[in-house]
Amino acid sequence: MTEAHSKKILDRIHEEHIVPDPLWKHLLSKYARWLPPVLLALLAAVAFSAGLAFFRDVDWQMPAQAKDRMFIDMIQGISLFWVALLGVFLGLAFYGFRKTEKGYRLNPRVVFLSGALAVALIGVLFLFLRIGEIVEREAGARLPSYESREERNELLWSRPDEGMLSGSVSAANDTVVMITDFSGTTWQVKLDPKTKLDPKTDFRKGEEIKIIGKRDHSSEFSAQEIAPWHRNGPKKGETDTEEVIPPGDE
Amino acid sequence: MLTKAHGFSKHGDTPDALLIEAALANPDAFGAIVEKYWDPLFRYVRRIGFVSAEEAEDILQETFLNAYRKLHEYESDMKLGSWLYRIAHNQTIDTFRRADARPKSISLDDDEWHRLFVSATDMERELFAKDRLAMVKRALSRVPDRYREVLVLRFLEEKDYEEIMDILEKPKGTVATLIARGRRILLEELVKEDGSIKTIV
Repeated sequence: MTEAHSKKILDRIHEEHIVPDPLWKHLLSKYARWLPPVLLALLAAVAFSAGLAFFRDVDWQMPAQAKDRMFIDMIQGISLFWVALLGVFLGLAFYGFRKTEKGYRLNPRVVFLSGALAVALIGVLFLFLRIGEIVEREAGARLPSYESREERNELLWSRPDEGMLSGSVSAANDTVVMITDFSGTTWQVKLDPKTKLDPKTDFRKGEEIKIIGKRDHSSEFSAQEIAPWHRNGPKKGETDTEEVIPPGDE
Repeated sequence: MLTKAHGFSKHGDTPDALLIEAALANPDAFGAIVEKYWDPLFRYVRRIGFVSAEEAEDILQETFLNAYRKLHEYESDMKLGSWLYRIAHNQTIDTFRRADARPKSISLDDDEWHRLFVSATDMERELFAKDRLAMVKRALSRVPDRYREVLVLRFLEEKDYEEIMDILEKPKGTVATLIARGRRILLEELVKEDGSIKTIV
């Protein structure tokens, strides 16, 4: 009986000139299934790298006197945008790996953990190659709703009630610095001999600075620590600065 | 087909990889594969598809022609049987997907009903009275396809977990879950039919 079925099938193979698909076609389709998950894992690594660049450059580390809230500030250095993107790409890559020819045979936990580890290592490599930084900067320039590092820094340093203030210098003398914060409010920042000044701090008009201290009144602030807005100090020609103008002489 | 002329005296004993190699070299050698696997695959297609003998034959013809086209895809780390079961499984599903319907009337032999019932519920064979046959049929017809397929593979085809993984292309954990849930659903459906089963189990 089965011989009759076998004959029927062989007859069809001969009559319809059916031949096995070539080996290259099989190999191409087999390896093509690896392409989407590999690309998605690389995208996940880019997102991880951009998130690391964001975290590294958001200025949550500066306040030496604000160690009690360092953890909270550190969390604010995490960009949800990149975390979400990393999660989506990693999830899709994981799904793609499971859909490869033998993916179902692999232990899902092993696949996920080894995939996440590989993405992390490639992400760190991308950070060293400055890929993350470039991608993060491009996202800031091209995506209107994306909150860039600069915007996040402004947000972090615009909390006078929590002791963090920033803005550009409008006038300064030995005891007082007048600044205008990023929302346009003018502040009188009081200095005393105990105030720590970063060596690169520049009080010329137009220079941007950040201050750790205590809010005294609605627009008065006692400074404990002052540093330039950009961690490495103002770059030459980056800002239009003038000589120090004492308050009241404007 | 593989005969003495091809250097094989009895294709039932021929290693899978050699059968494939021979079929790639000579289309007629593919007949040995068809002969070796026709009967088990025929039963399997009928068990999961609940189709007539003629429909099962049509499905199997397409299954074997597909397998012949995909001969290069076969890799020896899998049993040839599992690979063919997978193609037959997908072919059966495709057939019903095209027809946009799947028959609900189940056609198994009485002995197969016994085996499925006893294996899936862990009940003693003696407790399966003849008058319960219709009840079991009704209960099983209400078990969702994905669970019923895996119950058939495990308890009628007597495939181990590795083979079921290869046939359904699902991870071991998923296979174990499907079997456990399938058994539970079947038992629940049986209890709905006859409350005394709960006490017996």
